Amino acid sequence: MDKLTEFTQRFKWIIIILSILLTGFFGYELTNIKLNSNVIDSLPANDSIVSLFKDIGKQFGGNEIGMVIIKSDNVFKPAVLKDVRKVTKTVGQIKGVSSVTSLTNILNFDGAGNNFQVNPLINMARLPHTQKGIDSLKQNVVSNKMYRGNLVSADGSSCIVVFKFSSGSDNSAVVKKVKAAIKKLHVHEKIFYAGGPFVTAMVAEIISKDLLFLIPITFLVISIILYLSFHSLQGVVLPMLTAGMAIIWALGCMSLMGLDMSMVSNNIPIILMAVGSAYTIHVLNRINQCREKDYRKAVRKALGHIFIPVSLAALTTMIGFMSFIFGAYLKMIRDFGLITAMGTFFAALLSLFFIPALLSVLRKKPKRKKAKKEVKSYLNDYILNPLTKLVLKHPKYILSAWIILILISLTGVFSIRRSVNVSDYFEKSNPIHVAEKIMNNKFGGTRPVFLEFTGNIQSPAVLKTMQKAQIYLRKSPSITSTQSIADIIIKLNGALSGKYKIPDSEAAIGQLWFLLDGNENISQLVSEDLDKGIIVAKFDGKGNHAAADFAKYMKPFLKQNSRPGCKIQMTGMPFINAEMDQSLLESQIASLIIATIFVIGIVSLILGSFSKGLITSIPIAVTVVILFGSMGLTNIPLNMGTVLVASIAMGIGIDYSIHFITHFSNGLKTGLSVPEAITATMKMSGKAILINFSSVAGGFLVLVFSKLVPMQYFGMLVALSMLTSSLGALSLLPVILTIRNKNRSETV
Amino acid sequence: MVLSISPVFLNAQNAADILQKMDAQAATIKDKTADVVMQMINNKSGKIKTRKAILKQKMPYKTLFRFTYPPSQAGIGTLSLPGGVVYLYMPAFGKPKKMSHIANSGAFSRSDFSTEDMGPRNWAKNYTATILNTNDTAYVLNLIPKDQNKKYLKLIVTVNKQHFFPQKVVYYDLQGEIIKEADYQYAKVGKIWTVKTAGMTNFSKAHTTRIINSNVKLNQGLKDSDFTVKQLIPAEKRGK
Repeated sequence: MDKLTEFTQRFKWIIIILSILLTGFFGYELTNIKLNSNVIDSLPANDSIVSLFKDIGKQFGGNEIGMVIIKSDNVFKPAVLKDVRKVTKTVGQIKGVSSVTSLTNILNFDGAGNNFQVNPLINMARLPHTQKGIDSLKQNVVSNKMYRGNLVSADGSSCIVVFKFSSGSDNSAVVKKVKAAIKKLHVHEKIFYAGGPFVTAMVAEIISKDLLFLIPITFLVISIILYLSFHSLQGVVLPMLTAGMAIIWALGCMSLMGLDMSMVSNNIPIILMAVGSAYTIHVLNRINQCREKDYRKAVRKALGHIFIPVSLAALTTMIGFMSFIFGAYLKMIRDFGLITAMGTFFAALLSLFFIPALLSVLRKKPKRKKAKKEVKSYLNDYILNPLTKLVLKHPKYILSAWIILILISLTGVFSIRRSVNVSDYFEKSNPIHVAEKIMNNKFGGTRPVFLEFTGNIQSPAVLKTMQKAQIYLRKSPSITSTQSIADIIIKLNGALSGKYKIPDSEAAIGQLWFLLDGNENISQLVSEDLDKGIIVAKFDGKGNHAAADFAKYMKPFLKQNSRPGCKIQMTGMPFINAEMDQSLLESQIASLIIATIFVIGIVSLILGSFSKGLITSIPIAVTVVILFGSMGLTNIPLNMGTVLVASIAMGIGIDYSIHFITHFSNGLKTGLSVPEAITATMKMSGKAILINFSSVAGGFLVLVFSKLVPMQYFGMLVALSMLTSSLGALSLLPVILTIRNKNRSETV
Repeated sequence: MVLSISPVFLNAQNAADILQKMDAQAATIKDKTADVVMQMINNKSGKIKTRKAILKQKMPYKTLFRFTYPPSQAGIGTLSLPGGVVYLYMPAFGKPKKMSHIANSGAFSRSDFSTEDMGPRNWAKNYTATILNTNDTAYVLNLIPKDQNKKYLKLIVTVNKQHFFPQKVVYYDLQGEIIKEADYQYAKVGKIWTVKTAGMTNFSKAHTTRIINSNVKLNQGLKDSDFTVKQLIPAEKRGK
């Protein structure tokens, strides 16, 4: 240890210059970081359902569809239809939009005698002006299943303008252009936007706003807490400098590794600010407590004491984050775990090398103001001393209180719900949330199920199986509508021959294809080589098991009808959501197991005793129970934000118990009795724990202002976990230590 | 008083003359037969779909296509008549059907060429022109459509200086962005210059259509009776 501290002193300039250079380098790299708010990109590529879903999205352009929802009391009123036409025309003229379909431009084909009529569904030149005419038009359109639930709601109150993004276009730029152009139209109806690119753009917008808005607030909150704790500028600047540099290094590495900023990783700066500043706080605190007049000696002595606890604290926190690398289903969560763990490592490294080196150069001990004493007294007088008395005089009360809390929490643990729905990411007032609601209520949802048929799509046998599948699909209560090339072939055949069925000869189908070839909308249902076709079914199943039940319903059909020359595979968002839902639970369990094993193992190793390791882990175990209990009781779901909390809480919260038990053991070793050791520990470590809790919890609580709901819950729950783990370390742990050491002379 | 002529007027006058000469050049073709190969190219995937047909055309506005390839579409015929009337014959469905909506039934509707792109353009009647540029071999004209419901803001057309046929047409949408670009190569049949190959690229769809004419015969004196609905049905099936 002496060698390390000697090294820091000897090479202080090299350490400082190297740190500054690295900050400059990573800062430059940071500017290349990319934002990717698309959840689909984060799904594991090796999962068969996911890979089929991605293939279908790519081949049939399903992920490149935008929808403008136009809401009115009756969309068939002439004024509304004129606005729908305006929107359709405007969207169609935007660069990056390759095709637009709405009630006002879709063509309807029909046959009468020797005529084959392809007319606009609604004749915009002769719109009805009487109520009777409007009602008749509405009846005519909504009675057609090709349009009802696809372009217009069954009640006629909403319609959608569907458009396809051009291949290779910048979707987020197109989204902006579409919104701006429609805004300029000043239509009288309510307008909402739905579809993957709009959701992705909204998430990206929120991420950017959160980054700009929340980071300064976090900075301010933690700075205020630090100033109130240390009452010195150095006590604020140095921890924030460490955290800032660690953030730059971590995000610079993220960019270098080619990882994108996601809706989870956008919180890395906030988390690192809260976590990363803590290590410098410990270092400064220890230096302040050294009474050596020679400042360099004080730094050296303080480092000797603090090196292992800070390393240990960083290691356990890193384990908490790293548990996601091995336990998480989504790539964005694994990336988050990796980068936050690296950031934690950098923060510890900077606290133990850069800060002491900097202090040696400054050669100035932070001024202790009178106010600090006041804070110290305040914390001691109002919190720590009464708590110490309570712990020593009424351990049973404390134990009982914790047991009651645990029992209450246990009642909530089993009622935790899980949520992976995209609309749940947004606040209820968010337009995307409202649009999703309209799509769910009026257009059969936004979660399509795809049945992919591989074979000759012009073969009557394949098309007839497709038609059969659609009939079977529609019998399921979870399916609101289906669409495929088979529908179009039947309609075309009907118009030309009067027979509304799939033609029996491949030649007839081939000739019907003459009318379809090259049609942009057909490319959403059939591959270019005509070897693949899809049924798009709208899924509206409710509850966590709906997708599984539906998959069970489809299984015998797929088994009976999938054959060589007509292979049928099924995928879709409901199944991916179901997998994500299941994976949330599995990720949670996996990351918790990983974190528990490593945290207990490392703590046991460092403290030299497995029993000590176990005892140290009790407060954090209780914290996890209370965390899950609170989630269950307050109906906060396990989602991609809250799934992170338990492992992070374990990684950070264990530090409080480590500090406490280390100080307590040292106290016993120096000959103090158990009550004396507890009193001394409460005085010394208690204050550090409370300051650390305040800054970490304060930092995380800023996430309450995030516009992404999972992140709001994440911030609240981490803060709650910090509260319970610090309180656990300051009340439950001393009680357990008192009981355990009651009749023993040796330590623990 | 000295008479002066404004350069703008001169330019407009010259440009209008060029358009009239372009129309006159197009009018040298009274009728045409050809074997046509149509390649539809997906510029993103590089995949090419080919159609082949025999073309009969009588200016203006009478066109008969009989498709020979792909095999699944062999025998299909389309007949376009003045006034946007199109008849479609599909062997598997018997009698020809009258199509009421030309944009979705014309032989070129699946390609990047619109029906207007393929028919007589009536340059002088439909466009106001200004000369943008002149070089040794071509004029570059800026054409503004006269139609109130125009689809394009403008067309930039490169016109052959010697023979007054368009070599390149760039289409700008109403926002002023390039959306399509056509190029034409010509060959002389007898004394008349006619399109040998034509290409049209649609940038927003990343799609190109290339039309290759061969075995071109011009001004053979085709009659109106060659462009009747009956002619759509192959001779061997007419009696059935």
